[in-house]
Amino acid sequence: MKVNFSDKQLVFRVIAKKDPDAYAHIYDRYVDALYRFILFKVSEREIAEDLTSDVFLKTWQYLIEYTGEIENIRSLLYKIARNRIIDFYRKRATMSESSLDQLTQPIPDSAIAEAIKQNAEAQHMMKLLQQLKSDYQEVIMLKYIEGFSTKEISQILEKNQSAVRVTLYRAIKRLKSLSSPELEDV
Amino acid sequence: MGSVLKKQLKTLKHMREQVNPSSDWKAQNRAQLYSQIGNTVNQETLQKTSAFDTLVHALHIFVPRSLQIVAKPALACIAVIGLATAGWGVGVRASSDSLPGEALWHVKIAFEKTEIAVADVTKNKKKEAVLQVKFAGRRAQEIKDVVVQQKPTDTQKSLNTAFKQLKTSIKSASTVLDEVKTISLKDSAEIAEVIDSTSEEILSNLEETKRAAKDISPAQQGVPTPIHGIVSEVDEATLVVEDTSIKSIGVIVETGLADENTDTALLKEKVVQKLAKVSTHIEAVEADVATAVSSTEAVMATFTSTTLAQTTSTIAVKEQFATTKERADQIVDKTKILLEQNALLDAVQGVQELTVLKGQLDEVAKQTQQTLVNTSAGVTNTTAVTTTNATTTTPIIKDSTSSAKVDENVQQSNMTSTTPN
Repeated sequence: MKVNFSDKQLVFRVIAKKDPDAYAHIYDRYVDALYRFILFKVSEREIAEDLTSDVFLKTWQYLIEYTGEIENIRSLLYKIARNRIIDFYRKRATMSESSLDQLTQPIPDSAIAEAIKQNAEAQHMMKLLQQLKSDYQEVIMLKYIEGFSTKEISQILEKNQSAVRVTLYRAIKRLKSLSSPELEDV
Repeated sequence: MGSVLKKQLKTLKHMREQVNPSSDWKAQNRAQLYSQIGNTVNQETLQKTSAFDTLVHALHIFVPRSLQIVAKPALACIAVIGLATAGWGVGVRASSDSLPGEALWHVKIAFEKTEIAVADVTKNKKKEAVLQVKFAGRRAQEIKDVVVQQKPTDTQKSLNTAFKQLKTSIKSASTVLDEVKTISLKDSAEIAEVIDSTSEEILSNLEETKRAAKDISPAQQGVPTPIHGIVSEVDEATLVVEDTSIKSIGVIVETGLADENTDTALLKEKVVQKLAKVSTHIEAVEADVATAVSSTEAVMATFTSTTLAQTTSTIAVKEQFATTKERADQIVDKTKILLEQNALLDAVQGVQELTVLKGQLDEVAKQTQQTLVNTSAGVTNTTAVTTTNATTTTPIIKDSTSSAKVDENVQQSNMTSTTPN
């Protein structure tokens, strides 16, 4: 019989029992979403795969050496993924002397780009997002694409919830202003 | 947010969700990850996870942060109680075999005191008395083990503490027995039975200790531990134990006589056995004293000039012993008469008085032994002998009272004996 463990139960088994099977459940649950999140940021499948593997391994190490509180494993995975993406771009920036902000722009890989191209609305939104600064892009992506709550976003970005709400408000306002004038008042 | 923007973002989300990692990569990466994380977990890491850590993890994961302010102190309290309980078991087990002079022995004493304190706080007098007797039994066993195994002399201090503990425990049990007797005869009878049976073991161990101590030469014991150091302690402890033992027999007899279903023959047998033991001991002491006195006289006869003090002290000790022994014999005879008349309670009192005399005879016997040692060594220690003679005079005067009491009981018993058989 397949038991549907909650995230908290799985995390408890990992932390208290160092149970690899419980962690495998977590992997199965989040690998697709995490891979897409990373791929959307790095645009290359191979890099996304490497970073995804790395994120799961780092999260495991974090959990078994755990001494503090873990409210949400999904937020934790995204937080580690975000930091890994920043590291990745930092290394690449050092090598190519490009600015980090420029490199963290969401550049969809060919598969995503192809899918987006087939839809005019998605394509339009992609262009708008690319015009936003990275902070704004990040909160909008986490809120409306990944579907995180403000609290979860605050955990991922390591900011307080008020700061997230303010950033989100400003990002949407900026997105509206970038969109066609007729949308601004909608 | 505008509905058009929302729609565009949702479309973007759907588009993106159409892109998934390949199944091969996912499976391969899963297997690789499983292998990697499996290697990071060894048995040692698993063993480090204590029950307390698991509780803390569960608290952090399952309890909302707002409730953790309350939950954490509660968990701490539970953990302290749990650890104390676990620690108790571990501590008791670890220290159970320790002997006086060993590091864990004081831990064992501390645990025992705590047990008694708990019984006292919970007003469980019966348990308190039973514990006191049990711990006195332990002390007697430990003392015997230390002396028989000839542990180093640095255990002397702990050994003295053990003797002190033994006497205190027995006296406490005796006090509790008196208290319980005023409340419940049944409970006091149960306590008395425990005291009676344990006392026999304690007395047996003390006797063995005394024999072993006598076999150890002063050189083996080392300076400044004289041979009579342990022997005196054993004698003192024996007196206390015997006194409580006879008191417990008195309670058993008293409660037994109050119960119609009790077989008085069994009660009588108990008193007879006790009387026989004390009498046998007195006979043995008499034989020892006679040997010691004759040996001392033989040694003195070899001296070219014997001081008046030496001769006087030897005669004084001999006479004192004879006088006390005579009184003891009188009490034995009278107690036997009381037993024949089935005046069991009075007979118990006779045994009690005989035990007091037995203690005095032991003391005189020690003096004769010491006189023999001093005389053999050619040492004239008149002061010491005279002093000890003076100390033994007082109890002998008290004996007259004891003897008079038994006489009185015999007379009363002759008049009122109902022969309950």
